[in-house]
Amino acid sequence: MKIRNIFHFLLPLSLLAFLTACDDVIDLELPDAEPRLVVDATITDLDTVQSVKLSYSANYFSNVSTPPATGALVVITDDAGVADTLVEEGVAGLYLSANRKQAGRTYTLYVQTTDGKTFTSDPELLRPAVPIEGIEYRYNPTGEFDSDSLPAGGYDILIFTTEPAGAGDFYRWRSYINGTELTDAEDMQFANDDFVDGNGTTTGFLINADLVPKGGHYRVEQMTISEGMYNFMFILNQQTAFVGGPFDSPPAPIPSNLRCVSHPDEKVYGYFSCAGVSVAEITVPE
Amino acid sequence: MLNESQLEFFLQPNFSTLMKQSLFLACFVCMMATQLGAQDRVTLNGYLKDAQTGEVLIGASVYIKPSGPGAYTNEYGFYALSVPPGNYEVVYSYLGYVDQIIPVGLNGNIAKTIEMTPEGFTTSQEAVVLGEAADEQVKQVEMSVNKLSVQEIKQIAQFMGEVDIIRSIQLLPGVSTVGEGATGFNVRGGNIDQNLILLDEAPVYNSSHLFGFFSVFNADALKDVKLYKGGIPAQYGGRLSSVLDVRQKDGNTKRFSGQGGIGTISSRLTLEGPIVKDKMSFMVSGRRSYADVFLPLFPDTTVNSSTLYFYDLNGKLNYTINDKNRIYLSGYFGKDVFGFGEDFTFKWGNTTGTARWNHLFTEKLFSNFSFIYSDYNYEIGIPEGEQAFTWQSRIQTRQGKADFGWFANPNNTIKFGAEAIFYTFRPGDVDFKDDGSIFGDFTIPKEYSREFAAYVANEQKISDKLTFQYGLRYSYFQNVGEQDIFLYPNGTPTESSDIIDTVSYSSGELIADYGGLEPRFAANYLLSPGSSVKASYNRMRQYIHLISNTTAATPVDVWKPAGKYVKPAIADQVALGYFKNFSDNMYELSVETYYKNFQDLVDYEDGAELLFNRSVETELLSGKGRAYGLELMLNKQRGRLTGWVSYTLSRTERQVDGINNSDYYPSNFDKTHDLEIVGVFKLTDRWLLSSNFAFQTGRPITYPNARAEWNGITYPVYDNRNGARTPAYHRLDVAADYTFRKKKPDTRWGHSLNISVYNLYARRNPYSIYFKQNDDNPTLTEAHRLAIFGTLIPSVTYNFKF
Repeated sequence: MKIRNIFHFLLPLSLLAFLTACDDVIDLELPDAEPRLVVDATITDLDTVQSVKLSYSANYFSNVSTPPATGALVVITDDAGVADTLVEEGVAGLYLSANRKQAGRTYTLYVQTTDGKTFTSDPELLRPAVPIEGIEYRYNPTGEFDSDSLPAGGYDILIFTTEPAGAGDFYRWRSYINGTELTDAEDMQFANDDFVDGNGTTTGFLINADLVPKGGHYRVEQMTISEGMYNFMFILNQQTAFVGGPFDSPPAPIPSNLRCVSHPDEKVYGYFSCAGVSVAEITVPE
Repeated sequence: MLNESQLEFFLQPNFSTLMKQSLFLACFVCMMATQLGAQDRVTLNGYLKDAQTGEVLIGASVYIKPSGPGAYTNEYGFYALSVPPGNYEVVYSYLGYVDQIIPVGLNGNIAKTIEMTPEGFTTSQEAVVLGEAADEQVKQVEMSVNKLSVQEIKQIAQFMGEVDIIRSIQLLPGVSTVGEGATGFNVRGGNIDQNLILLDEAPVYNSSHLFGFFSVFNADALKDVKLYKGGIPAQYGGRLSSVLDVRQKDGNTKRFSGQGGIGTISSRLTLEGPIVKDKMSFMVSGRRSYADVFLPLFPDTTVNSSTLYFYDLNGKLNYTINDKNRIYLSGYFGKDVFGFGEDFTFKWGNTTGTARWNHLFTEKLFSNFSFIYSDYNYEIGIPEGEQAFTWQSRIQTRQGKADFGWFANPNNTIKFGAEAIFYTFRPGDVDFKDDGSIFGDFTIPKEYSREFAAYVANEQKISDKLTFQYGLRYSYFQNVGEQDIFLYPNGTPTESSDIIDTVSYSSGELIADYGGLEPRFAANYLLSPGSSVKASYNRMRQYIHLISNTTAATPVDVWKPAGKYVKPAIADQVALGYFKNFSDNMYELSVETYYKNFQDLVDYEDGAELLFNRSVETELLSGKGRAYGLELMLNKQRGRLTGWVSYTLSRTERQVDGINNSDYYPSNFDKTHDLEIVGVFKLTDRWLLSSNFAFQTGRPITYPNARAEWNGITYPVYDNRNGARTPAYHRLDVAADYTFRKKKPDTRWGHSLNISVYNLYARRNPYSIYFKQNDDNPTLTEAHRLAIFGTLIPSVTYNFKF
């Protein structure tokens, strides 16, 4: 749903009327923070390698990538009693599994870090994917509402899908242009089914991604996520993409579905998400 | 004005609750009445008016010389004074006007309407009698009240030369804002929705133009502004923290006249005049901004294809039928229009209408009956494409009100009355235009409510030194169908996915009701003729809340009534004050302290999704609040140099279970120190110079305590809400006003040029400090300082009147 994006686009413009608003980077001292485990995990029903990324939080102005949590024991169990131990391979802090996960199963993440602390997630249901029935591109000469638009315009992507009847479904779309995922805060796309419950489309649903250049390849993953994951993304998006105006929401802790079992007062950040995925790809001709 | 379901209310059994309470109030009135007993007295009554324009004067004093019984004119300029028969010298006095001392032989009831001449309009300086009764702030029982005449406001240096009521009252003690350009104002720790903003008695639900840079009040159309911050009289209710009572001009009853101006932001024109001399007059006023006129000059296509303007229309008609009856019709219509090329439109605005009938039942019993309509709505739309939609939202109220003022005797002035308000809330209707779109129409259910109140109050002079004002207000609120209400396990709204059932209420069926007494009390003890101490207490109940979780409220925020899941909020405030006038009332000094306690304030879950949410109750929390402070004000009222120094030391805190580890935290607009200096200097007859200086502690903000990474995004981790502050805010404004020489001395045509500079030393006052990734290097995180005004802002305004 784009209404949100439009609204946030509009507000800074009101300030523009005076052309005097001014935004500059300042130096601040912030106190040191204790490192805390951060979980970045999206498990899907695709037949690809599944991964869990573990890292530690760091001082806000540390200005390097946060340190990986290496050497941890990472296990995903399901409601059938199957335990899948992930292997840290290639990249430090990245734990992989080749075992395919199934829609309809409920998964739980267990982590034991090298300092002996143990963590667990709430059980997360892997919801079945909603199929993408078609995908199209359409020329957009101006790139309105798209702050990263190409100077000479580019291509919007439209997908065709039918939302299953019954309120309470949540979605996330991951976009890849020429094989690279769009991971800017502004690229997060997610929705609930308030406006689309049970509907199909004949004119297409516009994906809110960067414009695709001529000859570019575009891939979208339509993911059926949980309400908790939707809330996580909503606040994360609010705290990263929509800041800097007079109408900011108050900074707030971003909820997590993980907790520290061995030290119940210790905070854990991130989310363990499970999602059914439907994929569509298209290449814009030269 | 009542529809069927609203009429049904009167037949309902729960009406008996209200009846009982009303009966109680009626008894209270009778008890007071018996005390007042019939005595052998005669009554002098009438109206006080401006001799030039015929505008009635509000709050002017009338007393028997030398310092005998007295009265103040009410909101309609009416006064009544009962005294034993005899010959008296009656003094009529109003700040800024020449006193009138009139010998009156009172052997029977006499009606006397007095026309007062403004100071400076008299030709010989010696004729100006300095008002003995300019000591209103010392003698009046009301405290925590600021009155500003539009004349006074117009002399203050103003942002972009736009005379703005809301910005001007922010220069007063106890009034703050989250930042420049933010909608509304905060009074003694209250949220912006806790101010009852009245324009000719009609509530204004959103007082902002251009997202808050300007307010809906066009000063040329206004007469008088009064802000109650505490000791709020019983006739007002429905909001916790303040009443901003704005009165439009009645229209010149003497002659046709007009005024207007061409400014940097807007142009305006006001016309007024008699239709039947001294009987019937009108006032019409219009204002339109034209910032958008310059937008096409910008090379950026986003900017040059935008639309951005606002306009206001004010109108008033009044008709004096006879000595006993007077009718007023007034209205306001304003809109902001925002367009973004062909792709986007956004409009919002208020409409208000008031019909009033003043009737004099006896020479001592004044009454006013009002029918009031108010509406705030907005519409957002994308006109074309597969996402084409319109989104509309609206709050609408119809209100009937009866107010009585009984000038029983010089020691007792009794006010009583009742009101009924019918609300319709339409939080959101989204209509998608394209049939092939995946998006379906979406409606957040409408809500209906009714609010009833009755009050009685007496201002009683206990002795020459001691005056009490005590009153009681009873308010009762109903949230009624037609509506579908979601049910949750254990009756508490948790998540929308927890909804277990839906209950449908039919039209007019009671969903939830609330009510209670609101005692009000104020006392004034005169220490000496020029000084007094005052104390006050008030309890306020608020049944509708503005659902807004952003730093500054936006035009799309919606109002929500108390109902099954949302409770009304309650505030109790005590205030103590010392008031002193000196140098022949040239200086007014006031020192006030207050403590205020809030219950059941609406707050929000972290990351609450408040728009387009059918189960918005799952995002709401209930919190407590407390606010306390000390306010000092020194006001110089006369002389070449006028103005004031205002200083506020205060603390405002909130406590909400689930936010900030359930600890008290400072509210967004908590400013420990707030100093405002306003000066107006009459250099010559032609040159008027003015300047404002403001210094405020920075507002609370939240700093991150760590960073974390998720899917390529580095995000700030927040823990301690409002644990830090922006750097201090300070600003200096200056303005100069030059009045051109009149061609002929007796011509009515006058014109002047106003040059102002806002933020003279171009300080970049931070509105907020926010944290984000560097655009080019995402592993770099930065603290950004956002200043709404990054530089000084000059403006030129040309004003004229005839």
